[in-house]
This record gives sequence, structure tokens and C-alpha cells, in this order.
Amino acid sequence: MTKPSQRIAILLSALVLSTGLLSTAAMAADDAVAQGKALAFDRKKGNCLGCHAIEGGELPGNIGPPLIAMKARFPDKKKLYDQIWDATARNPMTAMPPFGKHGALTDKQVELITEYIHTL
Amino acid sequence: MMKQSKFMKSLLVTSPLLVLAACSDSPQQSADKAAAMPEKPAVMSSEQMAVPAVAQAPKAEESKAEPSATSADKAAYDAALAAANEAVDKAASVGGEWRDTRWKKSTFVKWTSPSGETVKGSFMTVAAKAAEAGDYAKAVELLETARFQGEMGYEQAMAQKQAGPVIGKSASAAAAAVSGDKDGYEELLKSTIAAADKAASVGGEWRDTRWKKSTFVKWVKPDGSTEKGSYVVIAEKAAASGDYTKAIELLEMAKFQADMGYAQAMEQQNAGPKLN
Amino acid sequence: MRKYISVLLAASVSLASSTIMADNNADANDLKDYFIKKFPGVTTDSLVNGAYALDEGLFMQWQDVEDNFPPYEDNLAKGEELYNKPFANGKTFASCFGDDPSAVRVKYPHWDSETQQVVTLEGDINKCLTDNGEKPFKGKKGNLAYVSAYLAYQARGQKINVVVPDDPKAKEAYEMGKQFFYAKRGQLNLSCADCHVYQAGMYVRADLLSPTVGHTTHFPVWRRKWQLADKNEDGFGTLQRRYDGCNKQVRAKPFKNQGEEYRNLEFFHASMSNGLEINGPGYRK
Repeated sequence: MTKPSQRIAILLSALVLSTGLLSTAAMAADDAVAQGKALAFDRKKGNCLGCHAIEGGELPGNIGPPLIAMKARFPDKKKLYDQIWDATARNPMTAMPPFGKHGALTDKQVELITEYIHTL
Repeated sequence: MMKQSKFMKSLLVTSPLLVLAACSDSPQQSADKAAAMPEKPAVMSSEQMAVPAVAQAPKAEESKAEPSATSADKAAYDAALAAANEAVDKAASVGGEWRDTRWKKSTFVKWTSPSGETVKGSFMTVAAKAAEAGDYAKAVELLETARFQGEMGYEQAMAQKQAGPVIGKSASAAAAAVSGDKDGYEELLKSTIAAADKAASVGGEWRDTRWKKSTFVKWVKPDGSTEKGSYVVIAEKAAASGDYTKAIELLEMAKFQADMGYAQAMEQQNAGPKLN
Repeated sequence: MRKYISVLLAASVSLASSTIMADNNADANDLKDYFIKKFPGVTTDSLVNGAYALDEGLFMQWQDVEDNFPPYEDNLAKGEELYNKPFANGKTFASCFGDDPSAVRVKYPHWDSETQQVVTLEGDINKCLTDNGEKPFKGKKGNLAYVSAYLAYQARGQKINVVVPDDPKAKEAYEMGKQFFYAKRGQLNLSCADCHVYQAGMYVRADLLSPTVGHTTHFPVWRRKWQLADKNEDGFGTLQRRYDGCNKQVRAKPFKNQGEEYRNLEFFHASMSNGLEINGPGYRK
């Protein structure tokens, strides 16, 4: 824990450099997206490129649709999370592995990947 | 000055929200799913298994120094081992064992022992190594994942027992399910009810078509639980769960039964003794 | 009435009622129709070329390897040598398989009514060895694959003709193989059919998924992937080596080599290529 005096100092410096505080928040969000991207591209983790084209990804498969316009396709981010967690809930025939349900990814990892995919 | 403090206020309010949005658990869903699923251990993936030797080393010495803690840990480990073996045996008995649960040739899980040696193997192989090294906490964690994998493998194999080709006619039903189009289902439901009514009107309705008390049709839901009932009853449940492929398949059978029941009743209209 | 019967057939299979329907030729024809519709311009016969039947560019490259420098030639010759080499008792494989080596491959896999199980070519190669007091070949590659490759090569051009006899046990074995093929398994929840029926013709990363009709015609195969992983750069492997690999890829524990599960799978799988020409051994990526 920081001491009250330290916190005041931090707050003051934030007041002076208010953009600094803004960037802290933005950095946290960026960090989640960056972590999500790393997981999405990792062949042993999400391996999204196995089946989906993603901008900046090499040698993508084409079993699934390209991951573009994701905010339009999934206005509700939770629906996207659910799709990654267990795509068989919506379509039992799907070739998409139920990453969360089968523990191939932890719930936290699914969440980070969702953060990243939703930016595409 | 006034302007700046207002700006600060808004920052102070919005920035934690941004952080939350990026990092917090998604509301509800984790909890909801946890309730429906076998308990999933928090740690799943191989990279997380790699624990620096430095962090582990003192722990091993501590456990040597405290034999009573070790025996309690050992008991927890034995229980977790038995539970994992039981779950994996069950999965194996139906051909549903996964690659990295117990298989000797798996190299999926990586773990660095207190002595600095890196061990690769299945969840259960590495758990045994961790226990040998005195790290029962790690061992139990790995065994819990193994047990989870055993349970999921078993459920999967049971859910796939009826697996067969979905090409041609059944494929279009599947396609309807994929697009989320339930029109086909609803149309078929209407014509099935009409056919069953027609059969009933001549006393020809069969037992398992739509009768509420029938338990003939068994359906394993995606979550592994089983529903029993007549074709129409189960079709309605499948549709309610979003599985229109299954619902349409069941309604086709119900419609067939209703048509056959009607035809049979008509054929038998003049039934009587044929004693010679 | 005919319509009703077909509905009844479909329904009874999908609900796995006690009645067992095991018409392997009808199943094969359904799949052939499915693929012909899926891949306009591709003929059933060309499916023996696997994924190369679906992409002209890949086909040309592959033809070049097959025609000019097939990497399997040396080990194919070893297969012939092993096949003709006398056992300690003076006999050869011909004592088990007959005098015509070109008449062997086409008989497999088949249902053996005596032992009430599916028999594979690789199983019988090893049986011949042990029956003659020799040690069986190990595993799913090496000598076993060489001899199998030699017999496939000798049979090139003959048509696959797997028969499911009118025996409830044989039909059950076939149905078990079929269920195995269509059942999702492993942590990644994929069936054989997911990749090689429904998604055939699509890419996983840079790999074009092959249709299952035509699969078994070109086995054993020489895979570049296996060649690169082998210290002697030997790329040969049997059909069941491929099953083992596929199961591992979907994160399912592989089943026992030549065990009941894989033999029944082979019985179904080979049936789907009925009527297609044997063109083994084949070179694959």
C-alpha cells in the first residue's frame, strides 16, 4: 500500500500531467489487447490463424470466416466471449473447438482473446 | 483551473472503468458456466506450469522440516490421485481419454522441479514427479486438471455416441441450425402436430410420437445431461436449447410415426377374425 | 411408401436403434455424391490423389515428385527384398499370401469370420512372421510399412473392394468404425469427418484438407513431415500411423496400433474408397 502522502503526490503529478493518467488506463486496455493477440496467434493456445484470417497473421486457414468487422458482428462482447468459450453451444456441428469449456484456454485467456478479437 | 479539475474528475471516474473493462472477469458468464460444468481448475496450460526453481526451492525444504504438514499434503495428494485415476479410467472405458491427461508419451505439461530439472509429460505424469519432489500443492493442482479432462472426455464420448454422417438431407437441417434459422423447425412442428391430430382422429396415434408420458427418446444435451420423452417433447426441448438440427431430426421421426399411425388405422378399419 | 422407408432408414441410423444398417457401398456412394457436389469439376476417380485432386498447382508439383524422383523408391525396394527373403524355416511371405504378390493388397482389410474380427494387411504381415517363428515387425513404420508399400505398389490400378459380409458381428464392427469416424474427440473436439468430410477442401494454416474418399488408396504413404522428423529420413508410415497422428493432433489419446478401434475404423474408412484404384504408396506433404 502506498502512504497517503505518496498518493497525494501521485494525484498532484497526475493533475499536472493529466494525460499521464489517461495513458495509464489506455495502457491497461492496450496491454489486454496485446496479451490477447499473443494468445490468439500462439499455435499452442488460441491458434486462431489455424482457421481464420486475421490482419497481420501469416498463413491463415480458411475454415472459419475472416476475423474482420467484429464489433459489427458482435455488438455484445459477451456473445463473442461465449462463442470462443464454447462454439458448440450455438452449433453442435461446428469445427471450432470449445476452448473454454474443454479447458484448452483458461476463462481469463478467453477473455483476453475476446478483447483482442473485438478490436478487429 | 476550474476546467482542469472537471477534466480530472471525469478521468478519475472513467479510467477505472476502462481498466475494469480490460481486465476484470466478464460479469456473470464465468459463474453461470461454472455452475453447469464440472469444476474447471484455474490452471490449464503448459506454460503456466513452468515455475521458477528459485521460488520452489525453499518450499521443499520447509516440507522436509515439517513432517506433519507433509502427511496432510500427502493425504490430499492421494485423494486427488485416486479421483483423477477414477475419472480417466471412466473416460478410457468409452474411448474418450484425451492426449495430455495420463498418456505416457504426452509432453504437453512442463514443470521445473525444485532441483532445477525441467520435466515434461502428461498432467498425471508430471503430478507424480511434483509429488516425488515434495511439491504436493503443484501435484494436486495438476491432478485436478487431469480429473477435469477425464470428466470432459467421458462426457464428450457419451455425447458423440450417436455420431454419424450429416450430409444431404440432414445437412440442410444442420445448416438451418447454424444460421439460427428456426423457420424450418416451426413449419415442421406445425405439420407434425397436424399429422398426429389426424392419426388421433382415427385412433391410430402411436405411443412415442408426442405422448407426454413417453420416455422412449433419450437425448444427451450438449452439457452431458440426458432428457427423456416422446419425439415431439424432446424436439421442443432441443429447439429450446438452440439445437434445431436435433429438433428437426426428431420431428421427422414424429411426423413419420404420425403418418404411419394414420395409415395403419385406415388399413385396419375392417379388421376382424380370420380363423380359417 | 418408398419415401417412408428411406425416412425410416435415416431415422433408425441416426437414433442408433438396435437394427444395424451396414451398407458400406451405399455409404460410400453418399460420400462420393457429396464430394462431387462440393468440388465441381473433380471426378470421383481423381479423389485417389487426395488434396492434390483439388488444386491444380499443388497437383503439378506433386506429380513432378511422383514421376521424377519419388523419395520412397529405395525403401520400396527394401520392401520387395523383405517380402522375398526366406524366413529361418526356409519359407517366405508367399507361404502366407500366395504366389502372386499383386493379388494381396486388394484383399484387405476384410472381416475374418473365424476370429470374428477385422483383419488388416499389416496385421497379417506380422501374423505371417509370428506363424513362421519370426519376430513381428515393430510399430507403424519401417519394415512393416516397406512390405505393405511393396504389396500396394504391386496392386496399383486394382480397385478397392471392401466387403461387409452378412454377419451381425461384421456389421457391428463396420458401424463402430463409422461411429468412430464421425464422433468428435479429444480436447479440440474434432472428428475425422470434421476435417475430411465437412471441411475437406479448406485450409488449416497452409494445409489443404483432403476428402476421405480416396484416402486409403494411397497408403502406406511417404510423408515429408515424417521424413523430416526421422533420423534416417525415412518418411514411410502405415494408415494406422496416420490415425495415431490425427488423434494426437486433436489431443485425444491415440488408440493401440492394430487394436480393435483402429481396425474397425480402417474397415469403414477403406470402404469409403470402394471402386477407386489403388495407387499406393503415395507421396504426401
